[in-house]
Order: sequence, then structure tokens, then C-alpha cells
Amino acid sequence: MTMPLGAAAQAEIRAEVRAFIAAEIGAARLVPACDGWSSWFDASFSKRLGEHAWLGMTIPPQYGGHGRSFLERFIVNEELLAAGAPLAAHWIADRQTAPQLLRFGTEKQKRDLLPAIAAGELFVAAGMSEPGSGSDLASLRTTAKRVDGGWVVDGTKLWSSHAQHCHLLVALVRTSPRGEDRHKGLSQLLIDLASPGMSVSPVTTMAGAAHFAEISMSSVFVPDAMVLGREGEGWAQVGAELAFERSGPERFLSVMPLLREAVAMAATGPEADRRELGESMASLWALRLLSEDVNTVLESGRPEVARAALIKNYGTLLERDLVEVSRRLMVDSPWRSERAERLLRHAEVTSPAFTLRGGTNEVLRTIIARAWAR
Amino acid sequence: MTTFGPPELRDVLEDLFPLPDNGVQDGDFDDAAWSRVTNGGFDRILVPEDLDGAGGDLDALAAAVVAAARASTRIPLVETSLGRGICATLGRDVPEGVVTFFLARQSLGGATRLSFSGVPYGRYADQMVVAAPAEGAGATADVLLVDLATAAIDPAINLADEPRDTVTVARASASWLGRLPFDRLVSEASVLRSLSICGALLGARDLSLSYAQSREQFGRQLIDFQAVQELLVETITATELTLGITRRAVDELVTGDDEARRVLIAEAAGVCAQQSALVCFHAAHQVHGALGFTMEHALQLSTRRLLAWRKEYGTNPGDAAAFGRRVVSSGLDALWNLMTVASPWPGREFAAGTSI
Repeated sequence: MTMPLGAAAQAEIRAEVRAFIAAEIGAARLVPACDGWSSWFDASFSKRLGEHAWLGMTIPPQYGGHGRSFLERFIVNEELLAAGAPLAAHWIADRQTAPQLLRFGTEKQKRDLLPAIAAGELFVAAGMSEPGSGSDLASLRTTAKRVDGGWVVDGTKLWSSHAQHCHLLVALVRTSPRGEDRHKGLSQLLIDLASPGMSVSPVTTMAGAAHFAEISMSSVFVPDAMVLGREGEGWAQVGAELAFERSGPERFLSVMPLLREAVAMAATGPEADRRELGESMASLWALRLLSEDVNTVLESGRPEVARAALIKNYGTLLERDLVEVSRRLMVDSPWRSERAERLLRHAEVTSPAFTLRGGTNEVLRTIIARAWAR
Repeated sequence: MTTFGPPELRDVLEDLFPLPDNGVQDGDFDDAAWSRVTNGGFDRILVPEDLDGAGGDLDALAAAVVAAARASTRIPLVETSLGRGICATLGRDVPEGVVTFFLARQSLGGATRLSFSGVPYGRYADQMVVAAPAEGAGATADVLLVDLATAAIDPAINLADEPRDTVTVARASASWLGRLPFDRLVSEASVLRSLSICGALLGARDLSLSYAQSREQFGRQLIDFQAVQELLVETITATELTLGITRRAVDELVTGDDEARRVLIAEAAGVCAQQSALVCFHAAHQVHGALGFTMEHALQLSTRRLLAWRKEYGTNPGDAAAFGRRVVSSGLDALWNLMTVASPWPGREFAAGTSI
């Protein structure tokens, strides 16, 4: 267990990030936007974060990282998220691929991939769901068949965010036939998205963005060296990453840029709006404390899947509410701006994604209820 | 299990406040529990050791308050502890017996008779500590000790049948003890009420979880139904959120050095507790069906307290609109700055696992 980071050190990191954000906004390199961590892919912004040592923060220095604590990473990320920075390019790589590589990767994989992730030069797409599987991930049908020196993959992955701009796909595939226990026989493969046989087609969301991609794989060869972790253990490996995926501040800060504008405009307004805002902000404060705590605890290796699910379930419902709270705060404001209008429209039409991605909330609730019932 | 106080205290508290088997409670004051509390010195947690107290802080008291509230114990633990603690803080004699506490919203003026309504356990109290905004003294409160020996008591109860009496006394029976910062008293009282709500949330949540696993309907356990899982998650989330933010509010009161942040997080905890109380109230009853809607079932002990307590204490207990107005007047970034300040008590164990 590392020593807890002192208040002064925490404040110092926060101030550095805030100064960077202010400079980026001043230079028009950052235009605050809702859902920036998922919606906005900006490779050059990610590269600049890498230059500031704010990517791969928890990766050890020998793999090109910065050996910082989970709490330090949490602080940097929550400031970037609250500012509405475009983080989608590196998000998957930094959030889940890096911890997975550190835990399950071979020495060569770590040396080859982690430095590029920390530099903001290697972008990863998550290849989990499929056209026929949705939230029931274990029903996936993409297969990898053993051949000399590796595997041949056939199948289709869907809902992989920004795969058309990424370099690497971390795919969960079936490496041995489905038996009694359908969670067995799944493996994770690191697949170069430029491999022969890969075909990536963007899927346009109702928000009008080519956000997702469908990835068709036809006899794609994956060398043995690119199996992540142990063959057949993919399900457990994916499960281990879920706490990282679900507990972070991106699950409740997606609409902060809109809320900031709305609060600034709400000098006049009915009492009911203030009540809703007060309720939401008290909940947000409480949830942020839980998230900070889980992210700190994760460093000790303690499994936090259930509390992570709680954070995502409640956080995404809360940010959905915050869109409407914002709308009401600004609806009659004389200072309502075109910029605020754009933020609102994007947040409104994007909000269904909040409670869908990373495991639909219905699935999460089953996990939460069963965990606390034990 | 609670997440407050030193670990060695927690086991003791579980024995001190056993959970009720059913909803039947005889009378509105639990003499046996009060004897256990006073014999163990748990009513003197905030009193320094050289004054025969436990020399504890609000964190230790928090542990006792949550445990007592979780068991729906009918005792004036919060009021007596706070009353004794305030007297000790002012360097005055610590009153003995049952002490109640009253936070007045307006200064007491020059009336010859003083009347207070909604006084917790007024009919059982020997003395009452009153804090009221001091006239012409800015943000401070006058603190008075009122002898209740000759008080006129008009008995009343709250939604949970707890004594909330109207107490009328002659001005002469009140003695002035000194002055304390009013905001601080409001924050302490409000956080203590949020802690009580945490206890009732834990009680209602745990009953819901165990009932959902023991009850079968349509050939399945209730917990196997997705709709029931959703209700359980509401009770779980309400409890976790309120425990978490109230925990931090306690930390700020014990070790924090920023008055503005202390006031604000106490308010936020109150707003959170108030919302959570209502959410958990409805969800827990929906899980239990008609069985939980009886006096006989223990659920009503927790849930009626949730309803009652969400309206009590503080000057504006859990006033979400007031909190919202603060956010608007200061701007979102000012709130964000306060929210993201590091814990004044780094490295302390959080709610992790222990409240599961």
C-alpha cells in the first residue's frame, strides 16, 4: 500500500491540469463538449496529454509510464472530464488495455505496447459485443481456430467505438467450442486493425456521428504472441477489467460543460429549478466521493466490481437527469447562447448512450443486488 | 457494521444496540438501552476525559448514533451527547441525567416565558441545551441551559411516535452558558441527523435484502426478479451515497480547516440524506409488499423514522433549493473546487465493503 497522497500534492496536480486546460481553451485547441471522453476523438489532444505525462500514469516507468498512483490518475481525469476535453482517442487504451496488459500481458507485449499507450500514440478499440450478443456477452460467436503459429479469426464485432481510427482491437473470441460452461473457452486477442481480412465500417449514431464501428473479420491471422493472458481465460480477464471501466468519473461527469453554462445563465428562474439542481449536485458530490474511494481501493487489487456497477448505474441516471436540469435552468434565460444551445442538443440526443454503454444498467442492477445480498 | 469511529468500538456497539426482531416496541423510551448507554459512558463521548467523559470526537459519536438508529433504539442519544458536549466545550459544568437539545431559528428576545416546540424527548429530559442566534452578534449563537424541573410539557410525537414535545419554561429557569459559532452548531446538528438517517437506511436496506432472499413468489425468490432487483438497488444506492457523503462531512467537522466547505458539505449531506430517505422508504416497502405495511413488522420502525427524520434538525434541514441557490450564486466551478478538495483525513478507511 502506498502512502496516501497529501492534500498539497493533490492540489498541485489539479492546478497543473487546470492551467493546461485554460491554455488549451485559450488557444482554441480545446472546445468544451459534453461526452468528450466517448464522443470526441482528437489524436493530437491525446498526444499533448502524453507529452504532459498524463497518459499511462499508473504504468511503471520501465514500460514508458509514469509510476503514479491511481488517485493521481483520478484527479487528472476528473479535471479533464469536468472541462469537457476530447479524450476518446486514448480512453480505452489508457483505462482498460493498459491495466490488462500489466496484469496479463507478456513481457514483450508490455514493452511493445505500453510505451506507445503512454505517449498517446496507440489507440485501442474494445472488441467485445457482437450483432447477436448485445449485453449477453458470453453468447458471442466470433471464433479463433488454431493454426500453425497462431490463430485464424472469423466473426463480427459491433459497437466498438472509433475503431475506424484505432490501431489495435482487443477482441474477446471463442477459442474452444462452447461446452457446459459457456464462460469457458473464451480468449482475448490483440489484433492489429490493419491486418489482412479486417474490414471496419462506421455506424452512424442517432446523434449523427460515425461513433461506432462494425468490424468484420474474415480469416484474420493472429500470431500466438498476440494472445492476451491465458487461452480460455478471457471471461475472467474481461471481468477483472470491469471495475476500471465502470467506476470512473466519466460515468457522472459527461454533461459538466452543459451544466456549467446552464448554471452561469440561471441568474433568474423559478424555485423548482434550484431544488432540482440542489438535489442533483448533492447526489453528484456523494457519488464523486464513492468513485474516488473505489478508484483508490482498486490500487490495492481489491475487487470492486459491485461498487463500480453501482457508480455506473447511478452516475449515468444522474447525468441523464442533469441534462434536463440544465435545460430548465437555461430555458428562459436572457443570456441563452448559441453555444449553450449546441451543448444542450448534443447532450439530449446522446443521453440514451449513458445508460447503455459499458453494460446496460439493467444488467448492472442484477450484479449490485446479488453482491449486497451475499 | 458502520464505517465510523475506531474499529474496536464497532463490535461493542453491535451488542449495545441489538436489531429488533419485530416492530413491537413498548413505550417511547427504552430504559434498558438507556442504562446500557449511560453505564458504558456512550452518552459522554464528547465530554473530555478529565470531566469523566470518553474524550471522543464526532467520529466516535457518529458510530454510536448510526448503530442506535439502525436498531431504531428509542433513546435521546444525539440530544444528550450533543448537550453534554456543548457544555463541556464552553467550560461549563456538564449536566447530568437526560439532556435534550434544541436549535432555535430566531433569537430568544426578551420574553419572560420561553416556548419551544418539537423538543426531542422533552417529557423525559431533566435539562435542555438551547442554541439560538445571538442578537446583534453576527454569526454566533447564545447557548442556554434550561432546567426542565418546572417546565410545562405539552406532549406530541413525530411520524415515528418519537416524543417531540412543546416545552414552556420561565425565562428564569434558563441560564446563559456562553456563545458558539451558529453555523458550526447547525452543521453538527444537521450531520447528526444525517447520521441517524444513515442508520435507518441501513436498517431498511438490510431488511429488504434479507426478505427478498427468503420470500418466494411464482416459484422464485423475489431477488430473482429484475424488477425487485431494481428496488433493492435503490435502497443500496441511497444508503451508500448517504453514508459516503456524511462520512466526509464528519471528517470536515472533526479535522477540516475550511469553514465554508464544512458548512457546504453538511448541507449537501443533508440534501442527500433527505432524498435517500424518501427513495429508500418507498423502495423498501415495495419490496416487502403488504407484510411490511404492518405495525408488527420491524420495517416500519426504520421507514417511519426515515420519514420523520428527513424533516428534522438544522435551520433548513436538507433544503435542496437553498443548496441549489448557493450553486447558482457561486457558479459551478466554485462548487467543483470545494467538492474536489482532498480529504482532511487522508488514508482513512472509507465505506469500502464494510457497509455491504
